[in-house]
Amino acid sequence: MKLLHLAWRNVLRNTRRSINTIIAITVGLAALIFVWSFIDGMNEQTIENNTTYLTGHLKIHKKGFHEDKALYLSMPYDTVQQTRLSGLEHVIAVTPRIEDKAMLSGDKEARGVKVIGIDPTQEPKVTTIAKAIVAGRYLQAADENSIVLGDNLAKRAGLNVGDQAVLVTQARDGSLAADRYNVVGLYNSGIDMIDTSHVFIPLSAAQELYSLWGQITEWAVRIDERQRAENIAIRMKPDLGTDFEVLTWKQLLPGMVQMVRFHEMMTYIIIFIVIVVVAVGVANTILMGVMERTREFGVMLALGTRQGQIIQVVLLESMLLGLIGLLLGTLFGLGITTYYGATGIDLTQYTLAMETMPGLSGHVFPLVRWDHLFLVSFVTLFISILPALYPAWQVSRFQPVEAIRGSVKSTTHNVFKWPSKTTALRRFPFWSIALRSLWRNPRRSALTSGATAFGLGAFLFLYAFTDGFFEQMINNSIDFSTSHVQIEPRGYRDELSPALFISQPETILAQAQQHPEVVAAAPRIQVEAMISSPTQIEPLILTGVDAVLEPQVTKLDKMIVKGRYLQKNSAMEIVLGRKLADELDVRLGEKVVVTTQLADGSLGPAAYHLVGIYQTDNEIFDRTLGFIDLTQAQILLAMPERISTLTLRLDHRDLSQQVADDLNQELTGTNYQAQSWQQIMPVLVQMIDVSRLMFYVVLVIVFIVVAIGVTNTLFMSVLERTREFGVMLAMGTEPRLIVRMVVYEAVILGLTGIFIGALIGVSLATYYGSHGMDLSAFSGATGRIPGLTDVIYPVLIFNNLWLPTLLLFLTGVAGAFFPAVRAARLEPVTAIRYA
Amino acid sequence: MFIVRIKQVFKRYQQESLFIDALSDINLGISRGEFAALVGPSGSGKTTLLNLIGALDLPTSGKIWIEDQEIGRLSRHERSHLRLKKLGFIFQEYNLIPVLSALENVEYVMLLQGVGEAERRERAMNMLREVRLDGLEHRRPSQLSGGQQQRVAVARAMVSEPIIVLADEPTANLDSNTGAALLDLMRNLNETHGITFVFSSHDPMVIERARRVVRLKDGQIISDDSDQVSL
Repeated sequence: MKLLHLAWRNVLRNTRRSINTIIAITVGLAALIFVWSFIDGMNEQTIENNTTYLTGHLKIHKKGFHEDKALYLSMPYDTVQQTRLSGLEHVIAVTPRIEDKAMLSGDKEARGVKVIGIDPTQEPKVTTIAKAIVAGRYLQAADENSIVLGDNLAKRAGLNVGDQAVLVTQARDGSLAADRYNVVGLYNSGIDMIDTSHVFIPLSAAQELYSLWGQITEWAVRIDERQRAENIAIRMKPDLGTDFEVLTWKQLLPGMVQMVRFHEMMTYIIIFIVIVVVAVGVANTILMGVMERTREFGVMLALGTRQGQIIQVVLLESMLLGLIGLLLGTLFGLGITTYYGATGIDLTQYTLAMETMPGLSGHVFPLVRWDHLFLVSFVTLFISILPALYPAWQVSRFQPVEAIRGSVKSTTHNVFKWPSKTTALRRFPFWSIALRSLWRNPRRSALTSGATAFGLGAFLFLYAFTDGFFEQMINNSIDFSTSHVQIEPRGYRDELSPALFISQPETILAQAQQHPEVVAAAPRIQVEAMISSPTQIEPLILTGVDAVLEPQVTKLDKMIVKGRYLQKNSAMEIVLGRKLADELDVRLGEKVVVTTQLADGSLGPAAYHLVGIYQTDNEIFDRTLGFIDLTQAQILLAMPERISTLTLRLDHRDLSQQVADDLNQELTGTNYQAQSWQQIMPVLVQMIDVSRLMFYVVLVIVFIVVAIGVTNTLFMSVLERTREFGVMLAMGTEPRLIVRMVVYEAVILGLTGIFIGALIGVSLATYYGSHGMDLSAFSGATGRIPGLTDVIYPVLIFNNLWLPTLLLFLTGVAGAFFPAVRAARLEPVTAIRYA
Repeated sequence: MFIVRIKQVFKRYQQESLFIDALSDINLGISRGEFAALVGPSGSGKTTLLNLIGALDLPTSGKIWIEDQEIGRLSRHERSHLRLKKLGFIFQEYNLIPVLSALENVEYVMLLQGVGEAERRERAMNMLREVRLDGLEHRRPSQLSGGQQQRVAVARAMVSEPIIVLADEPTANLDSNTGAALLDLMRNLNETHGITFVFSSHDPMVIERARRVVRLKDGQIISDDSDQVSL
């Protein structure tokens, strides 16, 4: 108790230093709590929305259905089995469903959708789409051919409550099936992925459509707590027998789980950076606080204090500082998090980017997870005590007499000798004095510079990593899909409808080619369609391309892994991505049927031979696109001589927006418009923006902690040299010269830190820039981001880096002003007496 | 002609609620070329008086002139300038700047005065030679003995040719032989350069060698063996 008392007094004795240390811990901890809660909130929202709106917590299928999704793997609607499952502990409800794909067509266009056949009375016990109805009503028990769809989907398909929609699909026996449905309600879950692609019909109607009389494809299960899903699944298995499979939400949404893991990994990296920077700051303060009191510890030892007691006092001091920082940091962190947890953080500006994570919307509600809070608090306390061990141990080994005399080697003198015969002093006297002062305590200076270096190095590398990430997204999207600029009918991008077309492609082409930046142009037709194999049906963006011109604007032809690319006028041939070919279970030479809605609203099916399979390693490209010859597309869609878009490749990517703007000037008065890749892929641009935003948040935290570190170091170093400054002032040194000297020290510390940090960051970025960073563990997550593959090559873009670097440097220097002014304001008489 | 005049000076310190009269009613004049000692036991006010003469501190009441400048009327900046141009200091604890070599320590004041590089160096070397430290000019304070450090301090105080050098207990940290040698050196410099020295000390050796001894007790002058008492 006495030792604790002593430690507490020591904490109070140098209040400014203690406050600085506490601020460093507080800011670091509060930031960590907030960042982690933000990510946890995002993850929780994704999982919760997906499970409550769509999947439920568990699904039971006939064995093999999850892998195959084939309708012959349906199972009987067995109410005895349902009752048995519902009776299990922790199970809230079990509901029957039929899930499969179909093409929905309304007035305007056809779209691939997921059809969910539900029992209107039982379904609301498991999922909550019923609560998201915004127009009309939810399905009712008496409904026969009724349909409920997302409002976004309805808008695009030109449907409204009261209209009739047609679903076209492949029935269980492989035959083409179609039926008409009355639109009775529209829902809006706020999750674009669900709202644009999921339709609900009564179970009986689904059984009719798919020829699955008396059958269902799954039981969807809701349980009391999501975390119990695995345990309950294990308990269900023996009861169900070997004919069935039980899947938890984690298995049902693997991409989401990987994305959550990916976010967590990024969070760990950020947490690691912040913790190291905070730890170094704290270590420095503690180290200085101890060394400055050498004489005092000498006296304590001389009076018979045991070494262990000295160690205890030092450790107790840092623990007290740590505890106060912990308390304040938790308070602030929880305060901010709770506030935003209630109001939500408005990121609607980045909605498209957020929605690449299915289940997220424009508002993120941070969520405090107590296990994470406990972990960061523990780590924070640990890092505030750990750095005290070394100085505590060193102090305990002081020789009392030497310590009292102040001649303990490790405190003020250093083993390295600055060369005495130097002309530097004469040329730059105050720079030289600053440099030598830093050299006098190399460990302290190294720690301070080290914190800056680490902060900057980590930041540069992370930034290069994200820039690499985005460069890949942009380049792949341009190379495989959009090219640089597209000319298209106004409104086409939203609808991909054959009703919108360019009627005189030659005129537009001639106009585009007048721009010297345009190096190639290719016409395209793009529409939404369904593609079916004998066993499967999948949505498809069908693209008609000119086999000769297309390879001049995009590079998908280079990614063929099986078979070959299209040839000019090759009849009835199609090229698909590997993922889609796998889903359809088709091989080269086999036939697939593509069904699309024609400009007049009627359906046009056509059969094609699979001649080539490409692979870009990005799920979106490999799964959603299919290519046929342009002329074939014009025949299929009954739009001879017409095209949907004219795709342009420029000699440089950066010119895209400029060329698009120029073209738009020329296209004024026509029905056409030019769109740059940025406008075609707003998701990408927003993702870049949202990541930048997050990086700036991290940077601000690093800034604050580094500034506090530098202030603390210089403050200590000024304090330690109080007498020296007193003498300088007594001899007539002007206060402003003293300020300059201290600021110079900060400049040297900052420059060293920045140089080393830049060296580390640039080396790492360059190394991985050539070797690539393998993220295949998260491929489910990366594949969902357009253009991204498993291997990221960090890219250093100087324009993105110089400003943060400069700011970091300036923050460090600004941190010196406080101690500098303090030194300059010393009263010589008191300063000289300072012991 | 006095270069320092002190008239009815009081100095009162406040420590929490306690007032301490460090000096009361001091009247003193110091002439050019003096080698004077302020003598008295601990707490008699000698260091306080020295600090006032050095324009490091200001009196609570009364006036002090250095040549024709009254220090109470000077701003912080002007006092700093006064110290730089006209005063030299020697401290009990030597107080050299630890990161500078002996030579650089001596050069430091001239650096502030804006003396050119070559001249600075030459004068500093000459001064070090006078205090018999030639050969040690590139050593850091930590590589010098106490006596050697104090000799650097003497050289530093004198090199800019101040009108007065103020030395606060200059021999207190030195053994008697080194102390005696230092005093002889200062006396010698006083005689050859005509520079005024004022010490504070309770060292009998200092008193022995001083040409004028001003005794203080409880903040008052109790004796002054000079006859130049009237101002």
